[in-house]
Amino acid sequence: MGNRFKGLNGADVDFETTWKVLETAFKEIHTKNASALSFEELYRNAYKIVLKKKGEELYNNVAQFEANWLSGEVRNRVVKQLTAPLLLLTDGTGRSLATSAERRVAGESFLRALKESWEDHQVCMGMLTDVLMYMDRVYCTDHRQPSIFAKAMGLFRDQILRSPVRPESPDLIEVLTSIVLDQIQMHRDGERINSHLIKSNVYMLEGLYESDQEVEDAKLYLRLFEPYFLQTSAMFYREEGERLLKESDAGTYCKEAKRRIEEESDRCRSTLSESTTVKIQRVVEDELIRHKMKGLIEMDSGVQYMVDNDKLYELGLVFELEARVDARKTELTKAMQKIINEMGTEINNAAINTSQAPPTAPSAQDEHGDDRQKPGGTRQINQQTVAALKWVENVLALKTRFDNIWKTAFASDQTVHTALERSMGEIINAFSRGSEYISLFIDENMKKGIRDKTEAEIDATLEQAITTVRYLQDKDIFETYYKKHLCKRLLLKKSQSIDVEKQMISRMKLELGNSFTLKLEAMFKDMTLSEELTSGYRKHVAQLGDADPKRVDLSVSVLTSMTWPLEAFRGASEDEREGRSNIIFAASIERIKAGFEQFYSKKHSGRKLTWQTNMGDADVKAHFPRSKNGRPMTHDINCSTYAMLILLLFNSLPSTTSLTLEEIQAKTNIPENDLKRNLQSLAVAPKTRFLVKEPMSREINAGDRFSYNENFSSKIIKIKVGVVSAGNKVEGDRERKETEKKNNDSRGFAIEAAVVRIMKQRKSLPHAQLLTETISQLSTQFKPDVNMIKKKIESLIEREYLERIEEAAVPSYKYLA
Amino acid sequence: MGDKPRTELFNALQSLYQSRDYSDLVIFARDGTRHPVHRAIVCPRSPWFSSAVQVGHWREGNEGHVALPDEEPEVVRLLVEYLYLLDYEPVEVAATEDNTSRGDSSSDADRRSTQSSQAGQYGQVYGTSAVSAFGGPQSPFSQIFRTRTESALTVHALPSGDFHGTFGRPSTRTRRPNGNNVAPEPSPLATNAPCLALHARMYTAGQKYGIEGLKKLALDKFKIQLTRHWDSEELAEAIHVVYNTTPASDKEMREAVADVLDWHGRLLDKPEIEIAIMEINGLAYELLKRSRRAETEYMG
Repeated sequence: MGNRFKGLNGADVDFETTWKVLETAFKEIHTKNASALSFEELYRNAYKIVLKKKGEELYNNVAQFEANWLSGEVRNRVVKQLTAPLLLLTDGTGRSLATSAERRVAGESFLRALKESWEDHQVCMGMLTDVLMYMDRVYCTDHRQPSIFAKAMGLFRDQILRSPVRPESPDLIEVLTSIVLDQIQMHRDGERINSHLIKSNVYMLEGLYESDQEVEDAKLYLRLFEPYFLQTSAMFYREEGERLLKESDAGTYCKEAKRRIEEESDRCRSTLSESTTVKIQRVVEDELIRHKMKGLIEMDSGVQYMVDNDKLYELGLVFELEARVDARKTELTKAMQKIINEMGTEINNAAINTSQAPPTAPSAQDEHGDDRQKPGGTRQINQQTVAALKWVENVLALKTRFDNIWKTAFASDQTVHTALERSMGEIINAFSRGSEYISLFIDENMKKGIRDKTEAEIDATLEQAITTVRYLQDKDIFETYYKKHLCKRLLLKKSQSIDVEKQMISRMKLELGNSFTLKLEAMFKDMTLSEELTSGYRKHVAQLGDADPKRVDLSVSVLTSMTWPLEAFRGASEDEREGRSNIIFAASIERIKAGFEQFYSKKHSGRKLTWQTNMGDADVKAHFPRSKNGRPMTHDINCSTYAMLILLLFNSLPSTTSLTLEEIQAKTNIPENDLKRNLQSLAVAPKTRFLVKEPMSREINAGDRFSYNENFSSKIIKIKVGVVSAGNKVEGDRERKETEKKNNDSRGFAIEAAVVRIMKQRKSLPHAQLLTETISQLSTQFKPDVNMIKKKIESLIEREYLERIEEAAVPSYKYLA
Repeated sequence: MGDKPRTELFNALQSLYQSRDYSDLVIFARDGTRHPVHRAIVCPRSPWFSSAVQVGHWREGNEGHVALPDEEPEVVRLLVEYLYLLDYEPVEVAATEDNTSRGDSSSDADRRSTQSSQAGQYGQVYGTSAVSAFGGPQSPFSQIFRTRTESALTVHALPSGDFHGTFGRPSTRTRRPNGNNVAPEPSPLATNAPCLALHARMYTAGQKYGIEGLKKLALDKFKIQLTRHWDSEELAEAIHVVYNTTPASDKEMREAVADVLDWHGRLLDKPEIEIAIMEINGLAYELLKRSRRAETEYMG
């Protein structure tokens, strides 16, 4: 029985003999001669050695065998491929000794030899691992040794890659790195290289680790290749970037940078490792974009040039480039803002220049040479209106232009949009007459601009107008102007379409809120009510039955006094206000006026009507004996209420009798300024000279005499007497100051109301917080001045709405109910 | 019903095993016995076979022959059987020799029914029915075959960890805390022939050819046989097989042996056991450790 167990005991296993069998077989395997070997036999031999507890000896023998094989056979085979063209690559002295073609061919032979050695090694070690499976499972596991495969990979690293090519020279891996880098440089220069070969070597470096622990981030590729690759790439692109900035234009630069980044990504995929993609992109982005963006933008052919010449594609490239490295696109945004600012400032200055330019020479000569006496005459006002329109149009054109750039070139990017919008807002608000000009722009369009436009075009115009309004900071000032302009359009029936007016209002409502349009809407309501009232009154008169053919027809607009900015009509004649109510009407007119007042007070008892005689107009039929080539003719004259009153005076006089200025004033009580202006229209203006003035001069002076012009002659039946300053014009300086003052007053009220509202709700609040809340509450209307808020708070304290809290740590207020 | 497709697969494997149609590899045992097999069945189960026949590497793969000159013919036969049927069944030599054992088999059956609780204690592991179905000498092999494969599969499909807790596998681990050095009752599943050395060799084969399932199965069969045949002459040989053909880090067979010697102290009086213990240092040390541990428990 003892004998029977001997075989199991392994006493017959002789290590040396068995190892010899294995060693011979391993040589066969390494020389690709394994097909005749029996796996079972080899496995059995290794198995028995391990069972005999000789696993460690076996393991060490195999390792030694592999080390010898690699350092002897394999290394020589690889080193032999380091031919002359490659030798100087690592010492940094020169590539110039061999042409790149020579280096490429030599390099490829070397790479091929290394690749094949590596692949052979892996295949052979795979087979050895199979044979030594039992050793791996029992010995390596129990003794915490790396598997024989891992061990052999480490040996390849040490014996081949990390051993010097020859004594005193760099390790083979350094040679490998410099050859690969050399080939990559060739590729960058446009030569074809064998990517596959390089990729195989990269696989090798990715499969090997610095130590046998096989830590993931200690791959040879990451430790010994990638850093050099990134470093040389950075150097290359730094120089390339500088060269491009010098030699090419910005557009080309962008295209080149984009191409290079894509090329490097492709290279990682095809030639190196995808794990490097992000890192090399970062390097290229740093060198070609991040560090060069400013220089690129400021090139002669840079962003300014691109904007000036509408190079949208190139702008897109710049955007794309910076977007890669900076989500906020800081440099590009800054450059664009600067451009908008400059262009905007130019527009603003042009508008100021136009509005301040002296009247042009021909207009000075035009009318009797006495223009000098009337500074701010009609010509100049027109010129200002033109400047206003021009300004708005230019601003809109600027906006359209940059919107287009933004959409086409900047991929509708939100961050850029915000910045561009801010700049637009800045230039619009930097122009002190922005609100007035925008309102005037709308006014002009309502009166004339939209006449021949289609609905879609009108829509676009309204949208444009709203667009500019949107930017305005001081919307309250805009409201003031808009109300004034609208008022005149409505009362003088200058508007092309009430429908369009209402559309505009509803757009504003959408954009600026209900409270903004409340008063504007009230104006429309007054107009509608007045129409109803007028027709009601006509019916009433018709029912009275006494159809007096000479009866004067009347139409009335009843305006709610707080809603309408009637001062728009008053002009500079504020001080003569009280005189107006005492206008003396001709009897026929007075009768009608009384009739209407009676009718109205029946409908709305307790309401007081104040007649705005300075705003009315009248249709008058006038006979002139020699008007039509010496024959009598009746003209339909449309003129102001005052003009009518003046003309009516001459009805009751013999045609030769004249009246002095003073007499006319006494008979009508028309305020002096209005009187003069109307007389000017009736006695000076050549086409409506129904009266003769003595002496003949352009100015109306005290003592001037007026009489019926028997010799008036005109071919036109309907004659409109021009009403001076009836249109909407840019304000004169005095008017402006007044508007400002009024505006400041209303701002004061708004601020007080806001402060009281806030304090009523919060009861007590620190000063700073009260300021912020007030500003934010009012921001939709205007940007309040901090000093004004402070003053208003003071004033509220004086009036005992608020009280300082003395003991508070920070200045605070308390609301007094 | 749900088992139907599975049954179908196992039936197919069974018929492949019996017919050996389409075989593309031949395994030779020491005595030259041929076992035509299918690479597609054998290789996925054993890394050893997979390596041996890998295309273009070795003679075995190129020729389609795998010689196992070191393996006993019975081991090779059972190895192949296991790869197809998830179980193996040694040929009952004892049954043909001895008439009394036939009588025994009926008493086996009685014991099985009366001591079903104990059957639960040992048997379930690798198929109570696997062993019993196979074990009855009267049972025609093929008739019960299906039952066997099904149950064997069921057991294999369960995660092995569950067995320890649920079924109280006959392991030293579960018993020792009680401090009782009491041997288990003979298992009703044990067959007449001891087959101790054979099961130990099957375990070794599982280890050598990298087949984990086979190792587990052989271990359980070995333990079940030990409950009844601990006194068999084969024990000494089995001890030698266990200690000489498995690595020291592979504890389970070694512990099974030590348990038996521990429970049945008089075994030490047998000369062949004495030789074994003297020859095998590891075994002597293992026994020494146990006796010390038992002492401490007693004192405590």
